[in-house]
Amino acid sequence: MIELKNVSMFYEDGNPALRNIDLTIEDKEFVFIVGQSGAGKTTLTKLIIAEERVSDGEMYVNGFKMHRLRKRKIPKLRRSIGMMFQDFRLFEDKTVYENLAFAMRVVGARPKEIKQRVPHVLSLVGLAHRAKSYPSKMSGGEKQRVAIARALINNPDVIIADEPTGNVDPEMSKALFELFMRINKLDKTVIVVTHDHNMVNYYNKRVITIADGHIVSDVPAKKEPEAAPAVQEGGTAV
Amino acid sequence: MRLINNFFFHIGQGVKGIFRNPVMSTASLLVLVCCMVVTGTFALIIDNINKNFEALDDVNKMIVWLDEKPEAEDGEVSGDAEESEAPKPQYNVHTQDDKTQKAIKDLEHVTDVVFMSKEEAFEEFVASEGSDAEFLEWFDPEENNPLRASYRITFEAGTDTENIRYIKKAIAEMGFKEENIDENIDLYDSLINVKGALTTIGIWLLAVLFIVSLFIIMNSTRMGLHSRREEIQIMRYVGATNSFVRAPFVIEGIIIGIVSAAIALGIQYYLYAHIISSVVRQYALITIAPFNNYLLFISVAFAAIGIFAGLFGSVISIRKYMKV
Repeated sequence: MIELKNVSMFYEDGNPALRNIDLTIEDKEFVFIVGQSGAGKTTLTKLIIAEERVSDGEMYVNGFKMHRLRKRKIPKLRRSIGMMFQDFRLFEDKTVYENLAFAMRVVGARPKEIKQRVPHVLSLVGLAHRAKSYPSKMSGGEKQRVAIARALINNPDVIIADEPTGNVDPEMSKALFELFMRINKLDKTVIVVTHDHNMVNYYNKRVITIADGHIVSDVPAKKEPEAAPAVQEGGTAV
Repeated sequence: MRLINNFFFHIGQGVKGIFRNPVMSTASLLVLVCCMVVTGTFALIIDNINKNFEALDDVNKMIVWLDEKPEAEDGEVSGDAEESEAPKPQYNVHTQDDKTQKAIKDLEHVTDVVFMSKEEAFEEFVASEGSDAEFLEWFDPEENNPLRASYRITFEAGTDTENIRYIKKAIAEMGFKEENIDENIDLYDSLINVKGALTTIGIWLLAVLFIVSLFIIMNSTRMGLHSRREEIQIMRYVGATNSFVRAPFVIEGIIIGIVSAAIALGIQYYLYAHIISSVVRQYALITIAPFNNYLLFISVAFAAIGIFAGLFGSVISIRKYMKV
């Protein structure tokens, strides 16, 4: 669970990035975070992975007290969160398999565990056949799926995707969002920071809007009737 | 098991790192080798000069000449003095006397006192001048030996001139005439000053070269790290610990340090055994100790410098990249 109580974050020059944020994201929830550029969306994700520190207020992520988090505990926190970025951040000189294996290796996984886990996660994102390919030979959508696979590889509780569709075409965007839905069904908390209003409107999920460092709206997913179709269009006002 | 796995993983990553940035690795290696060889050469030369100073005869020695007895007393034993009415002298300044010799030896900073008779002095002179020397036509050790008996006093190496003066004064107070006491205070003082100056220059040179090499290595490591900043970032994002991120870079630094030390040792051996020694021998400047005498010291020192520079350079450089 992620919980922020009256959290503010100021830059070194004193300018506020986030102000008085109150927010709770339950386990296994799917949340879109939207807002203009510079609104504070990315800062919020940086607070969650402890890349930035809370200036004021209380914040809890997966049981870690973020407002008092010691540096040596950051690696343990990050192992419970899978992070992916708009620019993929893959090793171009490593194959898809090696990219994933490396992410496991650096957290101390054994070779045997790596051999079992990497093919499983690759098949989950539909890239089992691309294990030996290099990222430079892949499309934007495929690269982003490799990034998703890497975010999943250490079996984190939370997946955070920062503008995951910024560098992919609309068709591939939809496929990626479908993948996020599937990941969410694997009991993972999924937080997607996006500008893609079409996708946000397409899926009936909770939407948090940030502007000027404040949460200006927090619209929960509409409750779906028992036998209703899986996807409702335009379910959320942004 | 996991520790062993990680250890080999880090070694592998460290070795890969060296070959991933071959230019920077070679630059670091060459800088380290140069610094080690320059500092090593200087240290060896200084040590040889020091050893030569210590080995110089007569520098830390004093000669006290015994007084020739007046003609009238010739043939008498020194003990005859007790029959005269004059007060009995505390020390015998005319002939060898154990009490006097011991009193000199008991003086502070004196390590040895040897009595040298007239005959022994003659033999020593002959040995130094050669058996065909001209003076042998004029003098005979038993009939007209012109040399005098003496005490040869040795004091601790490094004794300063103030203490040498104190020893001289104490001996004079025993009854020996000051003009019968020969020392090399001026020469000794000059040598100590030269030795001190060389040691000071050496220490400063070592320090400056070491700091320069450290900065160059830090810069080389930083450039290597800069090209791998994304790799470090990704490692940090997926939850690698600081030590895990640092380890390959530190191992890379240590490997470069050890390889540099090995290369520097080889160069140092060749330089010392073949070039420095032959130049010194050719000009007969000083006596040079064999390289084997320094092998252990140089090996340990080079390895220590290499490992420390690699370790320190990489640890300091990587701090900036650990902030993600």
